[in-house]
Amino acid sequence: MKHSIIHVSTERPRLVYAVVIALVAITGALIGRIQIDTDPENMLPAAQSDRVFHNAVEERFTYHDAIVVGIVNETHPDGIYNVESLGALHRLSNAILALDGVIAPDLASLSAVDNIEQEGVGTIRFEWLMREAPITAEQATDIRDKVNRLPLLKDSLVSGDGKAATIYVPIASKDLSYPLSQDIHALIEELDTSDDYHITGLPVAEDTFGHDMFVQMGISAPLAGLMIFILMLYFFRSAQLVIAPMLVAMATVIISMGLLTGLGFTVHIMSSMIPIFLMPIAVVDSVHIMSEFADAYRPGANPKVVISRVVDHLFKPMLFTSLTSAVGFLSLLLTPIPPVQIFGVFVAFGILLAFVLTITLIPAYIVRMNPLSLDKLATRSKTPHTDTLLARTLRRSGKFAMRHGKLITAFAVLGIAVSIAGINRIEINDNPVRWFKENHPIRVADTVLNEHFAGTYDAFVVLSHDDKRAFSEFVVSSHSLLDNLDDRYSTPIREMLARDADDKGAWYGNLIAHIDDALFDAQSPQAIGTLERLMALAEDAQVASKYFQRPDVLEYISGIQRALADSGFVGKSNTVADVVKVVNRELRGGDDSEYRIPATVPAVAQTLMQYQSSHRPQDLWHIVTPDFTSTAIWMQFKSGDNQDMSLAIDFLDTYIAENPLPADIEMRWAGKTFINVVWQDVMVAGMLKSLMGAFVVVFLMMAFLFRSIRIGLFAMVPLSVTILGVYGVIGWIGKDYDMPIAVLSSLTLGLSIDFAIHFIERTRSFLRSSGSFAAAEQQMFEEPARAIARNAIVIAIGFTPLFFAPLVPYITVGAFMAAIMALSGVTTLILLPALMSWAGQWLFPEMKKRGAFAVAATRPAHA
Amino acid sequence: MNLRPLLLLLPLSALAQDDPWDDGAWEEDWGDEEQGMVWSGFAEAGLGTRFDTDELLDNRNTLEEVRWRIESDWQPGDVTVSLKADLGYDGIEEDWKAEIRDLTATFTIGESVDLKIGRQVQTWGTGDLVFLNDLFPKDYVSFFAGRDDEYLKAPGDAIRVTKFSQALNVDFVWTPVFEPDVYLTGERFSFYFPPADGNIAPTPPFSAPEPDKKFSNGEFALRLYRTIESTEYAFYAYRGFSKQPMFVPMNAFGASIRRPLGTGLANAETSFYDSRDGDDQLRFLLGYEWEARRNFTVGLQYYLERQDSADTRHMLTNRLTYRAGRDKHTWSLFTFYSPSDDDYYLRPTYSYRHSDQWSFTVGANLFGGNEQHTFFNQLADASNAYLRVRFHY
Amino acid sequence: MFTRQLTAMALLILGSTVAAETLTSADEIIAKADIASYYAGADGRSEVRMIISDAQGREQRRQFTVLRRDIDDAGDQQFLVVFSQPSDVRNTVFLVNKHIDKDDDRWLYLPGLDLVKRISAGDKRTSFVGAHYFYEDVSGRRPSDDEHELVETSDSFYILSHTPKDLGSVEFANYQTWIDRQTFLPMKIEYTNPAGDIYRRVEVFEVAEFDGHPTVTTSRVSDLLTGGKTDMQFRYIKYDVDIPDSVFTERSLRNPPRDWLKRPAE
Repeated sequence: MKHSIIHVSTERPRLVYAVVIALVAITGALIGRIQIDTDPENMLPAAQSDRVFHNAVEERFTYHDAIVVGIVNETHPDGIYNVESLGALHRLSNAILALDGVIAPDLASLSAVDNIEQEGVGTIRFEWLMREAPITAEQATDIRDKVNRLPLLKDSLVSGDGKAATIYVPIASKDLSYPLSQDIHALIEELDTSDDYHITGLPVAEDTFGHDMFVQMGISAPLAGLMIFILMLYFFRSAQLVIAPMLVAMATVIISMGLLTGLGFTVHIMSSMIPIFLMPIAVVDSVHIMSEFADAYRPGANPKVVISRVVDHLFKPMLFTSLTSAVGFLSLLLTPIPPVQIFGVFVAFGILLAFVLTITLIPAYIVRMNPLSLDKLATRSKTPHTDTLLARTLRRSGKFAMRHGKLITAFAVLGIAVSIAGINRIEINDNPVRWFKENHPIRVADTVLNEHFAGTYDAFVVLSHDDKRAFSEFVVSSHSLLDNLDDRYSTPIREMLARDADDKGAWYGNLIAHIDDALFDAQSPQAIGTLERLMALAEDAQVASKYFQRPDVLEYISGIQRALADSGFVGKSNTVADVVKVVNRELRGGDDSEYRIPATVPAVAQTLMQYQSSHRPQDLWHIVTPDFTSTAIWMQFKSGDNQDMSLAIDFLDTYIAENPLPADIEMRWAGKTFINVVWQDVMVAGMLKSLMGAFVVVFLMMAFLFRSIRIGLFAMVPLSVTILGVYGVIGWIGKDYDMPIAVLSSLTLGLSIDFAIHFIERTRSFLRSSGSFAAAEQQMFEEPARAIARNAIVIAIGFTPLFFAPLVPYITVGAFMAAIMALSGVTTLILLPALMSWAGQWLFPEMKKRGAFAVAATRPAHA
Repeated sequence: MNLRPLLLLLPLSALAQDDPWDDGAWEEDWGDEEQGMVWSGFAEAGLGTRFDTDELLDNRNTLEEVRWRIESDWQPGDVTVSLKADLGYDGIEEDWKAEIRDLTATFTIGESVDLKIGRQVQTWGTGDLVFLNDLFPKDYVSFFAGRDDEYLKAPGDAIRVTKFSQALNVDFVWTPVFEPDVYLTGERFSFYFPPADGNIAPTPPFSAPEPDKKFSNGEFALRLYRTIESTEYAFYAYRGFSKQPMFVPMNAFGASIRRPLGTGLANAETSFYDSRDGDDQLRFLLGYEWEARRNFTVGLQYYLERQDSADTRHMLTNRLTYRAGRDKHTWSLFTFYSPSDDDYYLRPTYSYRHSDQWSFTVGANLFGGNEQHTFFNQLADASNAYLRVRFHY
Repeated sequence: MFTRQLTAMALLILGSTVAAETLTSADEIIAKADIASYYAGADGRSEVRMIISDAQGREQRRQFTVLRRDIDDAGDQQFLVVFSQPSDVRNTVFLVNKHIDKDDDRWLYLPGLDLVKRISAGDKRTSFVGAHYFYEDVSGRRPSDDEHELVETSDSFYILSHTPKDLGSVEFANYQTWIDRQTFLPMKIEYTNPAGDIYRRVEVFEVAEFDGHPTVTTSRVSDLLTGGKTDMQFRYIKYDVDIPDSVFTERSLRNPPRDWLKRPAE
């Protein structure tokens, strides 16, 4: 097969070109269908139970995505509570309400929420908190006094220090976040205010992120291409030789990305990095071929013959390096995070594609070159390498490694020990907002707002009550009572009993209405008696089903809130208990001592009915369902770091263990901040699995390739040392282990093994041909070492354009890419020969018999 | 502990000592009748209590009652009128109870046809506390609560025609108004309810609508039987309803055989329930009972129930009975164990007959198993011990 | 016999057409509509059922009895509203003295808290106990609060447009009503917000005659922004039942007048 491929490439280069061009054209057209996905929720599979629950909760309590407008006034003594600031806020808020796509009824701002307060003795008043903008300073500070009595608003709509306010703008669809935030921006421009305005919120952040991702793909990836081109030009001094690998790289990137978008996958932060990963990897193989061809070609020779020989010669190591790299990325499939899986699959695909293109397109390219250029290429590329700085350094380091084999090994072991200590210090943490650079407006808004407020990050603890037993008992008892009743009355009621009871509010409402109707129609005292019993039973069951109206349950929830507040892990929590307390206080005269939960269920129910008599009755359903079977403790966090979230989760778990939940209650977390924790946990466990899986497969492949378990193990050394080293550094410098860091392990695996394969394969063939370890090593540190070093440098520098990317994850990847290349290059070129210097006999037992190591251990070459 | 059940015993002793009905007045009123009426019966107090509370029920006890039984026969002419009635107070239901267990008129038509009309307790079939072709009403609540075994069989209003002949004996019972079992309602015992995924104890208690009272909804039961060389053969047929809710219309056909085998008695019985809702059932029973030692009998049964809608249920039962001291002491243990459902029910009892008047019984009902929904394990919280004191007169 | 019936029907139809002369004054129409909607008879009682549904179709119910007594036609009125369902708000009572020339007096009794409260009537456009109806929908908006304009007279409706005199006190920019030309009952009302969108709609589905007064029996208000709606059903309606003045006193808050709340036999 190998030969027929080469044959086709050399004999019918036009066909190869045509096929590749057609593929590129088709897939290139598919790139137009690109869909950007920046929703962190998609880190979890759609059917993942926490995600499913989170979505159910969003629907249950009608949570919308919201743009957050922050207003800060640090200078005025009354903070935001001055005529000018509130006037501007009022104007802005009203203007936003008129924008299309804003869910007006749920917009939260000082001018759109209600106040309940005393108006003289025995009178309560429901009114808009700030229907009109204040005209006098007293009116402005009056609003402060009102807000300070409304715990649901304080520290949510206005900061505790009074210096900042927010407008929560719920939007109908995420797609609108960009145009709407632009509109709001324009409105702010017109405001004529000296206050600082910030626009943030998850949809805005996601949108900006998507935009920056395009920038990265449109600028950083081509920049990387350019960088690689220049580097190769420097090394090979022949544009013609360098253009071919660039063509392979571009074709690889375009076909892979075209396929990805064409197959309907969305481009997530991970997949947006595919081009930048594929570019250098694709170049590597072609560089191998081109440089070997340049070495082997003599002017006047038949290029077809030469290139066929070269490809034939390099086929196996290239296949294996490609396969192992692909395995490294395919192992990401073991991490159950869809964007990571897609990333792994398409990078693996790209690597294999690059291999195929290399062995087809490069020969075709060479065959199509005119003989004059070929001759030039051969002469130009050969001379400069043997006496460059790189060449001299490599020779020297090779000698050094051979001479101080055991010392170097000892240092390596020490390094590994230090790295393992570092790995133990790794903190797993991520926060999508931190994907923006520190001076990014979103990052700034995040910092400022969380300085003033109880937190702009949300998570929910959802409590749900379902007493199946009580409900069944009620249904059974009702049927039993209905046995005594004429069908005329009982049939409609039985139909109601048989209805789906998902919404207990509707279910009991319908049932009681039917019993009520039957009661009106019934004539006989016996029937009336039965119906009255049934009614009493139904009313009791209904009241019992409204579980989160029970004073004791609300007290329990208040207890959780107090504990959370004391713990310091949560900025603030809001619940239905707060609502009940506020309304109760105002109903009972406004004294702070009445800020409590009334003693009976009817009292709570009537209190809540009063709350519902406001301008925004629907606000209640953000914290409890209309049938009162489920309630949410809405928590605000000052940071979106999932470490902080995890602390709160652990704290609540401990609290629940000490203060058990009432019976039949299910407690579950939801909210974006929580979802982040979930996928982080999934990722860490998954990455470990991926790494182990890849490690095992790569080892088996190595053992197979070299037909030796010992050499297989030996080949794993560079990548093991590199992975340990890189993560050790991450641990020691205190960089959080986040998603980009997590995928680096696969990358390392794929690239380091490449060096090891080439190094071992060449060493072994030199060893065989020379029969002397010393001689083999000397040969090794000529062309092969240079090729490895060049590759390492090309890739490392090729990633540097990422330093200019607008988003932190890309910068991280760029930085660590360079580190990985450096480290794996050094381990391959220093540690491997060092190990061989004293363990060579164990590694190559067959050579031992031939006395290859006789001198090597004590006397290196040139001695 | 709740003292009320103990107090219940007091009126009983008072009743027992100066029973106003015991002598004189009634005897004189009725005693002069030609046929003569003999009044007999007993007064009994019973108290049963759970080992654990059932969270679903307020009352920890399973049995709190005094009852007074009157029995009599009266033969005006060719007719025999018999009466068995219970009066009493039930502390669990907190109500007075009066129940007629038997009030029948029996007479003979022609030479070989007996007719028995009225409220009566009936039973047939070969099983020991396991019923296949016996589709007469059962009172499981009494059985589990610790009442006398007698009360497992519940009375029904029926007409029974029996024809004796050399070739074949025929029993035909017509119960004009369907008489269901006394099933678990959640009043005395909670029961498993699938939608709740657990036990429930509704108030008011569970009751299922019974079939309308019309002729075609009556129950018809037929037995043809004959003994040939000490082997009893019987064939059965039934038309009516399943005896447990939801009272699905059904027909049943079955057969049984019983004969001495070795030192004991072996029996086999089978029955097929052809159910209107399509959920047909096949029941099969094998049993063997023998006196292993003097005064010590052992009974073993294997029972199989195959139903379309459920897994096949296998059950093994074992009865051990030991009588001592001229039957003054009776020790007994009845065990139900189902390997398929992995649940069990143990009924140990000890009876002491102090005199012809006084007898005492202590016993227990122990339920258990692995899965909440199985028949016996749903009653795990109902496991109880009981004491009954009976005074015969 | 049959012919006579037909004749009677014809007369009835003819009679009503004659009665329904075409009005051209918006103020006159609105005055008649106000009387028809809120002042039928000298007093009345009715039982109301409300089903409050949110966009997801989740329901809450309310059931209450309304007693009403007019002081003057088109003038001051008294209302007593007593809740019966759900049971946890049973016997919650509203007492309203509606005034034409000043703010209404509103009292509230919460039995669970054993609390009588006066409610400041500052803003009548708050939700009525969580429904999509406002207090003002229940007790009636004063005709003098708006400028009225007759937009169109169709075969069955007078279509009027109303603009509030005080824009600051309401959330709408204007609203339009479809008033039945026969009964003068508004059959549809649509509210437009300052952004120019119709965001709220009240519809009447059924009208029946009680004691000679055409009366709305089922209606719905839809919140077009949230997708929620409230259905309202009026039953057991009686007019001119001579409810005494004493029923509409603070005494009734703690002791609802059982006799007047009892459902009349049919």
